[in-house]
Amino acid sequence: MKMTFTDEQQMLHQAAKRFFERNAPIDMIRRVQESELGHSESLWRQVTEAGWNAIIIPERFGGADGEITDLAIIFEEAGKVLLPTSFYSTTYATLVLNQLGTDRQQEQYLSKIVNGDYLSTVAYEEKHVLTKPALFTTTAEEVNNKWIINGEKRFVQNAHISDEMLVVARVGEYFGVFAISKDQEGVYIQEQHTIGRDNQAIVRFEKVLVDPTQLIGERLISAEELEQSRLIMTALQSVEMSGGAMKVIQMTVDYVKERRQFGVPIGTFQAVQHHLSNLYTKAVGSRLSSYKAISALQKNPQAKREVSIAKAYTNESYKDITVMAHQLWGGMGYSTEADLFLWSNRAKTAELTYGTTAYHRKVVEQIIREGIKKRVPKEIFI
Amino acid sequence: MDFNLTEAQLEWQKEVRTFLNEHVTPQLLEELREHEDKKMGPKEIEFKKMCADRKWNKINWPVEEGGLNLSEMEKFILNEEFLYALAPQVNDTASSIVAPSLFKFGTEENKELFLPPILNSEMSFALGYSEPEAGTDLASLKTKAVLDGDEWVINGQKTWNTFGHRVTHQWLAARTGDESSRYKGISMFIVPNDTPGLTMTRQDTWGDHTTNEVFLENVRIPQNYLIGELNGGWRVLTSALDFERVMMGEVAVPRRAYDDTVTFAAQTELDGELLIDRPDVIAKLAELEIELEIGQLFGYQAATKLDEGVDLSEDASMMKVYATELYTKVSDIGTQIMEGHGQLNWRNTDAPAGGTVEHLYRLAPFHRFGGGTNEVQRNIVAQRGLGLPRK
Repeated sequence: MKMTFTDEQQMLHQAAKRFFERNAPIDMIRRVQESELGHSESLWRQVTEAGWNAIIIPERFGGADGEITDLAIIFEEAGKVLLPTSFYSTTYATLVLNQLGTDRQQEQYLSKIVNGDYLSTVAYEEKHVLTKPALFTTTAEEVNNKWIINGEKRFVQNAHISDEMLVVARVGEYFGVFAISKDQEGVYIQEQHTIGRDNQAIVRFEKVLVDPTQLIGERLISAEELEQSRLIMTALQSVEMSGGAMKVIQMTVDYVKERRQFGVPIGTFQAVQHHLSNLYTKAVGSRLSSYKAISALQKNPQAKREVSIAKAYTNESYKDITVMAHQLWGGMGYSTEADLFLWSNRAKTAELTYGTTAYHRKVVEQIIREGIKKRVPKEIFI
Repeated sequence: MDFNLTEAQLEWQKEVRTFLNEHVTPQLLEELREHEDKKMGPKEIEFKKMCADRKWNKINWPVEEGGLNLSEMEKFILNEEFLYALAPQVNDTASSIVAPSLFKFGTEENKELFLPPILNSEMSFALGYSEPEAGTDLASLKTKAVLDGDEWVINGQKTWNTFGHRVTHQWLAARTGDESSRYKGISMFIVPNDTPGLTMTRQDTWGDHTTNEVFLENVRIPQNYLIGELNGGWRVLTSALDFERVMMGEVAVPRRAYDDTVTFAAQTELDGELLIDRPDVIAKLAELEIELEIGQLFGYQAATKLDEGVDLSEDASMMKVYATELYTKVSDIGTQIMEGHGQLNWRNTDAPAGGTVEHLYRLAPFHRFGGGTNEVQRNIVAQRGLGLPRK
């Protein structure tokens, strides 16, 4: 059992920590969030130059041929600084391309991603469909050797700045992932204003004509294949959330050591210490379970149990930590002159993305039921 | 990173589990319940002897003293399996607190006198720490030891003397400094329970856990029954604390209660449906499953940190709080799921899970204040883990 980083991973971690501390200070992140475009080209360049976009891309396309644990290490540090989500949405697309892309498509896209020349995202959720792709109303129909896409996707991250979106459309019982540019005829983007201030959009597809070469993998895929990349993103986001959670704890510890009332730092009060002890426990538990999910996925792409345990626990923990942080910071943290609310925004957004606690507990319920069916009845000495 | 046990660790786990499956019989469990307030029964003695033959009672001893050269993770796995099986604890006070303390702090004379009988299971111990006025604030203890010629004379009172009625000796903390010396004036002694002047009265508790008050009136013991340095007792006492907390932070106990609840729910029909099919039941079980998994991760982290030689004072306290509060949560929810049958204790032949979940509900509070109450543990996490100021 090894629950700490290897020497190599430790070096990556230190590099990521230094990079984000230096290049993504909170006031800059805040300006990006408040800006019209919601994107910093210079920060994107820096992320690219640091090699973060190349981590899981195979060497033959200029990538680092790393593991998803290496990606997780970046996500953890990114979560601490509230990195704009373009890195996360492009990672999702990278995972899909790695898994499904034909040689030609991988050649075409992955080296561009390595160079930071391809921002992307995966359009998955719909207004009435979250977790059951079989019910997707965004469909693709093959007509005269072309595909026609009709439908609407929501909560598409960074659609407006993506070079192309990877759009999941249903084809009968199967699915096609289509690379579609926002400039294509029939594509309409409508900004969604979210608590995370993170560039999500409704994207409508009206008779969008797509070339067969734009079908990733040039074949239809099953729901299981579709889920693979989503499981990884869920675990990665869980790690990202655990990073943010730990950051809020650190900031709160610093605050309560400084803030004085009744002649002493409020951090000396037992109630304050107990709150922080409880929150710290949640942050540690979130981090361990999230890395466990990542580690499990490296061996078993269908490690649903570990992923759902991590997301369910981390959802509640990150949120609880930010909510209690506001209680401990008082007015000083409530004023938007302080930055605390930015992490609170992120905690709620991240909770509601890639599955709420209720959804993930249902996954665990199903696993419990399956376990019972497999079990040899145990004598419990009745 | 790898969160799975290695092949070798899985083999070890299997070895321990197989032994326990064979030897923790319904008869042994029944004898344990019957003898809880009495001396050890024959089956328990036999079981402990089998474990002693395998040196499983010496996992915390140095190898040169006959200890098993186990890693912390292997010890953790052993303890997990024993707790889960509801087996008698072989890593008892004698082998896991007294003997290691003798190795670390005992004089040569102490070791010569006490190690052989401990090795032969001729000596057993209860912790003589708490007093009516000294619980969480143990450093304020008042039981006094005064040197008179070549004997120590001890006067005072101890309380919550767990296992006192079953053991041969006290591992006693007494004041040898002046009244206000607090932790700087405490010494450790070994006191035979049959020494004239030492009397014991029984204290019953809500959790069916029998404990004792111990009265010491001019109890005289030889000079060399002082363990280690005079006034050096606090160091001895606290050296065992992290280990104790890691033990107490094992989620194996609530895990067992949870598994038994799941089995019960999977086999029991109520109002025409299997309990496990009720949405509210399976939802609660999923919630618990998640929290138990997190608890096990804390345990594995602590064990791996110990193996890596990393300091873990806040981890031990963190897991102790987490696991013990889970005792309450699991047994509370478990008894709810059992509905009316959740009331039945082990005296009923049809009590679900032999009444262990009902028992855990009453036993849980003890684990929350015992071994360092959870408020203090939270202070430790905040102060040692997060660097928050002490008073």
